[in-house]
Amino acid sequence: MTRGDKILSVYLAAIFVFILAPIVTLIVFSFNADRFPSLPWSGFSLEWYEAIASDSTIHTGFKNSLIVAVATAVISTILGFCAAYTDYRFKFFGKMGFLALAAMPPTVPVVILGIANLTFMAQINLAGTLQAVILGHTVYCAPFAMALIRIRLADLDPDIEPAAWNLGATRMTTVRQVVLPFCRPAIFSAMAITAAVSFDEFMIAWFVSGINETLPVRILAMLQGQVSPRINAVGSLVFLVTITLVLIAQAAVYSFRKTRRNV
Amino acid sequence: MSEPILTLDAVEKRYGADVAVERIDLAIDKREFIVLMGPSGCGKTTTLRILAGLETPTAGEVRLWGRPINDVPPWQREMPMVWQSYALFPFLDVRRNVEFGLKQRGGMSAGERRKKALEWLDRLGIAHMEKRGIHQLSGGQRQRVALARALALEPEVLLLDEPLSALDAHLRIRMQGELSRLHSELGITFVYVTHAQSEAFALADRVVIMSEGRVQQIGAPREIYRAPASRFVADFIGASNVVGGTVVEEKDGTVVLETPVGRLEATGSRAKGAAGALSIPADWIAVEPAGEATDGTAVEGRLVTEDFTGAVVTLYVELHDGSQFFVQKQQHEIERLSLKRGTRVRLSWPLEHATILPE
Amino acid sequence: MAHGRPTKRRDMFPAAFILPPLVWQASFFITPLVFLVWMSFWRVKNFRLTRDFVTANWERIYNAGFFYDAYVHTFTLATVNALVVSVLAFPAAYFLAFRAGPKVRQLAIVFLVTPFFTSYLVRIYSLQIILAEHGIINSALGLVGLGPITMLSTSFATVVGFLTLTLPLVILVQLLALSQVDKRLMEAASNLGVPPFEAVFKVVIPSAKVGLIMAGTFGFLLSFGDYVSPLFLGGSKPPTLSILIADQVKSGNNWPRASVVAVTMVVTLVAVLLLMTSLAYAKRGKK
Repeated sequence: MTRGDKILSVYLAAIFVFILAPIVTLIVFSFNADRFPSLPWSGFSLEWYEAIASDSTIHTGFKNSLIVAVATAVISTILGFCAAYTDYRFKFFGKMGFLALAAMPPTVPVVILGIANLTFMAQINLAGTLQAVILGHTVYCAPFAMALIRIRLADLDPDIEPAAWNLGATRMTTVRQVVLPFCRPAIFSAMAITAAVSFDEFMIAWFVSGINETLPVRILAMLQGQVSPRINAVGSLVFLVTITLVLIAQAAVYSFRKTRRNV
Repeated sequence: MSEPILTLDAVEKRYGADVAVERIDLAIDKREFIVLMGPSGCGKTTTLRILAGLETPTAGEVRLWGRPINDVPPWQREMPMVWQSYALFPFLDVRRNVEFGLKQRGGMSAGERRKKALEWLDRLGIAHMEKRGIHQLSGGQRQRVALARALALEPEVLLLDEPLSALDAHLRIRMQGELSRLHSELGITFVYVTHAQSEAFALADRVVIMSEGRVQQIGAPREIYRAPASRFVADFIGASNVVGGTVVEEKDGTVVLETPVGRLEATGSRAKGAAGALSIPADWIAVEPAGEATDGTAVEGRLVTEDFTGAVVTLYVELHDGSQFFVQKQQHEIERLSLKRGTRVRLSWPLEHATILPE
Repeated sequence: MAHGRPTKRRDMFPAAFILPPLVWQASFFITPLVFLVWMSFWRVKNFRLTRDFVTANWERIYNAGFFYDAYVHTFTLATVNALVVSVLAFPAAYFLAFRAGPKVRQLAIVFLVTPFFTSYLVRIYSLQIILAEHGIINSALGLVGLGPITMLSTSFATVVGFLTLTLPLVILVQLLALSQVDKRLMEAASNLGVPPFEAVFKVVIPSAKVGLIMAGTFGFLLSFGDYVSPLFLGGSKPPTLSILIADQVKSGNNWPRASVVAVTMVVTLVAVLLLMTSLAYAKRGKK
């Protein structure tokens, strides 16, 4: 290792410290006995976890987030699969437009998706419902699912589907018996990522959920009040759920990267 | 002659302005082993895919037992194919790959399917690998699974798209033998695409030589070898010396051409003054020390280089105009000449083997 | 696919895949955005939203000093963040692309992807307690007899928040761009006697230009639309456009005016995106 490399690796480590420090602080102070987070550390306590365990708004928020995340994961993965397969299989007039439409939502700030959804949902009488949150989240999440599944499809030998047709499988049967099994790891990973993004999303949810708060919306409300280690505790819980999902998703991607098409 | 099993009637395939296949007419008989051969981009694979229903012809008709099948989708054609890439299903084990087609057809219990799949795997000598994943197999083994998967459907027609091109030379020869054996045992039609002449000539009952979307010649390997139907075929087969020139005389089924290497005679007929090319098979040319006068069936030149492939020697001889002739001989046949680079030699051949190529 | 699909008239198979995402995104993505534009011409009469076609909301917002302040502030902060994040990310991306081994790179990618998807909101909260007047940093400084330094409710804090959001993504995009750079170019440069540090500017940055500009653009886009960092770290001094939107909706209950701000933001983002794309793909030559 040259001196330049040493400096750069120390720099990289510093970047990671910067990125990870808030998370570590969050978790550490969720166990801090003192009400005000400051140094020195004033002793280990589970008080804040006990506090949120008995908080019914947290329970409801958790349940709502879970419902939204599961529904979002399923719907956006189906949509993402359809869009990815469309890109892989078909050529048609306006395909560029179709792909742009399918991929664009995450580039729009969530605050704008939030207000756009709010104004729209109000007109179709869905504002303030979990359905509205699910609709908003699927729009935002489907592109992530599409990207993951499309990457997997790039490894599908272009002869495989014709081979299935040639052996008597209709195109739909081929999708069911050949394409879907082939994409299984990517679909799994897409479900995990979209669930994570949905479970974590607070802006769209805040605008359209009304009184049906999801957990991050609850946290947002808590943030507007007083500093409290209860936020650390519930934040740590949300973090735990999402990081688990994101790591699962990456492990799945890694597994299919390793077993790519080997002709 | 009995009714052909497959007929291509003026079949054409265009992609916009590009012509992939231009008016191909072909009748294939039951039990025939037919090989489509040509350089890449000649339309042979497109033709095969048209038979499989994977491409729809832009004009013409494809018939199976006289019934038009242009509109029959690939999944209803029952013409399984062996793919160049094998196209095995990577998430299924060997046996389930072979069962795939049977499962689609239905009407068989899981047990029956399994039994049939194992029969075919056994026939191809890989029954012991039934539970393996595809990625655990060698190229040759994958080839066998691909064959078993196609044959398990017990089709009337088997399509093969460059099936041996991914194998090494040794394995290729073995698989050639195996394919030959399977073809005669099963008594079904094989339609086989390759760019490799050795495969085509070793396996085929008839070879269809294609170039730029057109059929150049159809015939038994020996016929094509001995009497290439065009300059393209002669060049592509590469077994003959081809010399172009102008016809200056014509009498009793022979013509004399004025060529850059001298006046040469050839069998065939062509109007005086017309352009023509004659072909002389490399293995019919006799080599002698130079000296004797040349005539209409001989030329003289200088040995440039020799090329050994086993017992066969290819001699390259440069003529006075700078063009080259090549000659193929058994090694023992030319040993006595003690040829060295630069030696002047006389090349001669029987008149009946110098044929004028159709234009 | 270039070829291979049997086509027939009224083939419903493609429609089964094209239509669901098309209809869904058109209904729940495009329609709301179109609706947003329409809404900006509505009126609020006696605290009730009324369908109308008036330009009053536009006039009102565009004549308001607070809107201009917010716009300039938001744009400036996002631009500063785009530059800062690009500069901070580059050495890390460079190290990962050219110097680090595959194992380190793989692990680093996991560590970069993960925070992008996890708990931005609580991370900002955590930064709040780190940077606060009596927070972690100041209490640590206090232990050694220094401080306290005011960090919270400053633009500095806002940018720190933006960085936790954008740094992982920008490093990833830069890494992607740098891995496309032909390593032989660098070898050729060092062969010609160009020192490594100079080669970075003469070879690496020009060849990865498109990706580097796009990475910075992402840094802009994400921070331009962010709500929580300017609010909880910057203390809304002054408010950004996102804060204006949220305030108009949540407290003011004036959706049409919020729509005006939102439409302005979308137009700005599209303009920036187009500008940066044309800049990224512009022919080289002028230096």
